[in-house]
Amino acid sequence: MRIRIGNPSNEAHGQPMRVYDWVAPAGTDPHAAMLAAETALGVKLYHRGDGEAHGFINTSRRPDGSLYVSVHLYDTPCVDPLCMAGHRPVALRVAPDVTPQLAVMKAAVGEHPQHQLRGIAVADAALLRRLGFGPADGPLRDG
Amino acid sequence: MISPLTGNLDVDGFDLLDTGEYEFRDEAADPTADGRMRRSGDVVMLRMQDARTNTTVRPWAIWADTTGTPAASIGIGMVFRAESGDENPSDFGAVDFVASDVGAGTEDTYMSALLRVAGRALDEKYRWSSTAGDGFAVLYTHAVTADRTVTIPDLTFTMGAQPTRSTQSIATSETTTSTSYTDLATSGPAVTLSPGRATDQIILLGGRLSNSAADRVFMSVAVAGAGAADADAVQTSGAAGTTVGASAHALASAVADASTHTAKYKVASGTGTFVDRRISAFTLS
Repeated sequence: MRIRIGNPSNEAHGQPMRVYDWVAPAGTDPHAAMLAAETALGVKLYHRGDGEAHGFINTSRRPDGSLYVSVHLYDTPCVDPLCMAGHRPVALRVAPDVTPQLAVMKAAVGEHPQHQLRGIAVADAALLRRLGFGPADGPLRDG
Repeated sequence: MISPLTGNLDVDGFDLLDTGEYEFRDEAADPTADGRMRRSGDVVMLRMQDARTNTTVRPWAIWADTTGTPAASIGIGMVFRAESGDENPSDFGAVDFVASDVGAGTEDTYMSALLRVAGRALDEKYRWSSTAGDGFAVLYTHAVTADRTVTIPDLTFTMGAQPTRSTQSIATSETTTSTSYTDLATSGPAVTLSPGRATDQIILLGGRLSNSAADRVFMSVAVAGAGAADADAVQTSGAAGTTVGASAHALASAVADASTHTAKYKVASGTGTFVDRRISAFTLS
């Protein structure tokens, strides 16, 4: 798993977030992965109708069937009902520190045995390029 | 008065003439055949001859300088007169060359054709000018079967501009749970049009969209890098897990040249899945 601080997905607020990404095994269901991550972290990663979220998850099915997973946690709240970023009426809450739960989250979702992001910039970039991402894509952007 | 003049008249450095008007009346043709200025009633000819073969010579200059200080709009022209039903002479047309800039080393001029319409006085109807150092050439050709009318709207616009278009797509299945607009893991698709000028553009968005919940998913566009808006978005809503093919369009005015339009995504709730995302842009002007 890799840990970044920034806005690699160009989220509309333009604020830095805590971003955790890794590659899950082939066959992993995106919504099920999101639910597993959410349960492991104890935060709200999708809007279920209660008007708030602590972050969001992006996933991408790669050509070999593996699933790239990227968890974004908000560090800047937004409760502005007129916010032009488009999330109203959902309040964006600052996520708590989830460091102790990261390993649990990765285990709950699963990690591809050969596609492991280790936080080593050159090796991670090479792996992400092999998986088909380009320099303008979130996984290869510094944020 | 010398009439008729039967010899050569050499005035050396003096002015030969200082008169207000020459008039050539309709009398019998002058038998002079050497081509010099003559009186024939319907032809007045000023002839010179040299040895050129493929160059252009300007044998006659009309020079009207000023004792004042030249400024923009100073010009020189020639009027063409004939006879109409109630006017003699009747101004039929004029050609003027006018300066829009008389600055040292920056002089710009244009040519005006003045015509009469509905009996009114001569008025400028056409103007030719150029902003290019080498100017431009226009060749009008047509079969001589009938007069053709071209009506130009009362607008400033660029004629002959070719439409430009671009389409990009991403087939990969990707998801987000973000309730604010964001990129998916694979950014875009995005299109950039470079027509060389600001243009009005239409942007088309489409894809196969679904949601884990029975709620809306959005695919919108950041026009020229601005924020994405719901008003421009593909919005689908159906039963949970149902994939819907959908499209939408956005109209953008006066888009700067080489602006990039990038697709953006969000959901109202649940997990949104986006497949076969496509964006196209076309210039409209």
